[in-house]
Amino acid sequence: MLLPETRHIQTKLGDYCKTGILPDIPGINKKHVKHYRRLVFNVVKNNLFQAFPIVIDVIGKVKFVQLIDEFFSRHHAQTSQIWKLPGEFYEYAKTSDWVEKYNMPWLIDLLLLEWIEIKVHTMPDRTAPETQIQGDLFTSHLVINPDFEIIKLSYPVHLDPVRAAEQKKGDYFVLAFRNRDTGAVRFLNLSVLHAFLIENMVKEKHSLEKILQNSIDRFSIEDITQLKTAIKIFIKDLMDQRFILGFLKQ
Amino acid sequence: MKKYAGIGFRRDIANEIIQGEIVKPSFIELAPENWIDMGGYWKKKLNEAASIYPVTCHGLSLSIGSPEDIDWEFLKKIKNFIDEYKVEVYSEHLSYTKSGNAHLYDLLPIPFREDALNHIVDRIKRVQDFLGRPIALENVSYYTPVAAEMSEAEFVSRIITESGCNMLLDVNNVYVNAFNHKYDAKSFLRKMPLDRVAYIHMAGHLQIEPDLIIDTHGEDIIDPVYDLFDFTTQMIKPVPVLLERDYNFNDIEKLQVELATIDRICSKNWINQHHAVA
Ligand SMILES: [Fe+2]
Repeated sequence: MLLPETRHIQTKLGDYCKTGILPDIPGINKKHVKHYRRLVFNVVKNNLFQAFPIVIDVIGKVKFVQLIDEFFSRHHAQTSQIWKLPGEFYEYAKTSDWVEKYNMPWLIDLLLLEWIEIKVHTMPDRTAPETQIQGDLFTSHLVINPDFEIIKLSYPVHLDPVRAAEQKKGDYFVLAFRNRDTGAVRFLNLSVLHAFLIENMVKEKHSLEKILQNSIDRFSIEDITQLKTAIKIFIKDLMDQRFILGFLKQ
Repeated sequence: MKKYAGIGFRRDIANEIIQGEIVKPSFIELAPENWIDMGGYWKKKLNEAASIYPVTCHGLSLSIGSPEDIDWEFLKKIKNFIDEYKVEVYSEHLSYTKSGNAHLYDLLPIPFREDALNHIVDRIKRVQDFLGRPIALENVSYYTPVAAEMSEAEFVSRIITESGCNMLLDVNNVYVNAFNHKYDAKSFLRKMPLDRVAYIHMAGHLQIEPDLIIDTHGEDIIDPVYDLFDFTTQMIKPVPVLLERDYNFNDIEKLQVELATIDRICSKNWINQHHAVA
């Protein structure tokens, strides 16, 4: 029912808000229409400025606005919820040429780190089974806080400033989880083994003992006693930090 | 004194609203887009507030005036949200925010044309069928006409009447548009289907050019807008009135003054009438 002409006019105005390039639109006030581009761009800019303060700290506001401008003019924002837009910005960055063009090898990792903080802070509540205090670290079933993500980075931007991180390319794992009482997000650096343990505790729902058996084969570990001592410290720390919530209620 | 005035549930003033000591709204309004799919800290705050106040919803992304198809999947989420929080009024904007398969996150002006009007009337009916309830559509501020073939008053009033939806009358937007497009606010109001008004918005604005006011939701309400509100409320039945404030929260006591002023005008004009909603 909408005539092609009207559709075309509406699309042109929309495109103008995305790109800032003013086309010929019948009957518009050329001076005042500029506020639409300004308002739309400001909404997007403010949202992404809030989402990525560390990236802005490193690359500066001018450069970041330039990235936003490219992103918003070329990308078709799909989420109707603007607080999820930083996730689309991160995805866009991965497909862009920014890393090479601006020589910022750590950029994608840093964007991911900041986006994951938002994602974990806001993600829907997942239910965790009931817990009890009594249990054995190795043989009982441990209950994990389900509001978490583990991400893999190539540069340790969660540990070092980017210039230092840039020199340490490797495999890094970061656990981000949300405290169930306060809602605050915490980050923990994980070794490969730790990441493997947590992922298996979630996936397999086995006791630690059994998962350890698997990891011994996988990581060709020889000194099991030493491993167990180290794991014990790690698990207790996760309990203190409320990532492990307790033992499954019998 | 009966209370009619509610306030937007914004994160900056969430705690003050929950405490209810300085600001004392009679209900809260929220944009469902800002809360759907959300857990953690803010979900708790939302639930706390919703356990104290009645909730109304004012959507951002329906894009009823868009050439694009309606996002039925997202509307399903809105429907669930409205049910979960027992929302009495779900309102949206008579504008579009999606174009060329992209969300733009602001309210663009629709060409006031016959085909756009028919397109929107049809969409409103489908949305209302889907939700199983009437929606209320808001007259938005706009800063330029776009390929218009009829007046704003005709466009708005015919859409409300022909679709059978309710009207969210934003009194500040009437003031802003009357100034920007040089017409008389009161005669515009008289042309509106005032029996369909189910909800009112009041807000502040900012004049940024000699001939342009922007609807900012960041300033105090000015007296001429209160006057227009007084004029309007004399002609309509009692409805909930929302104070829209999106930022500039440094003086919260002032917000309560605005809520009280709105309540005073409502009480004066609606003294013997039954309060219809919320
Ligand atoms: Fe409004």
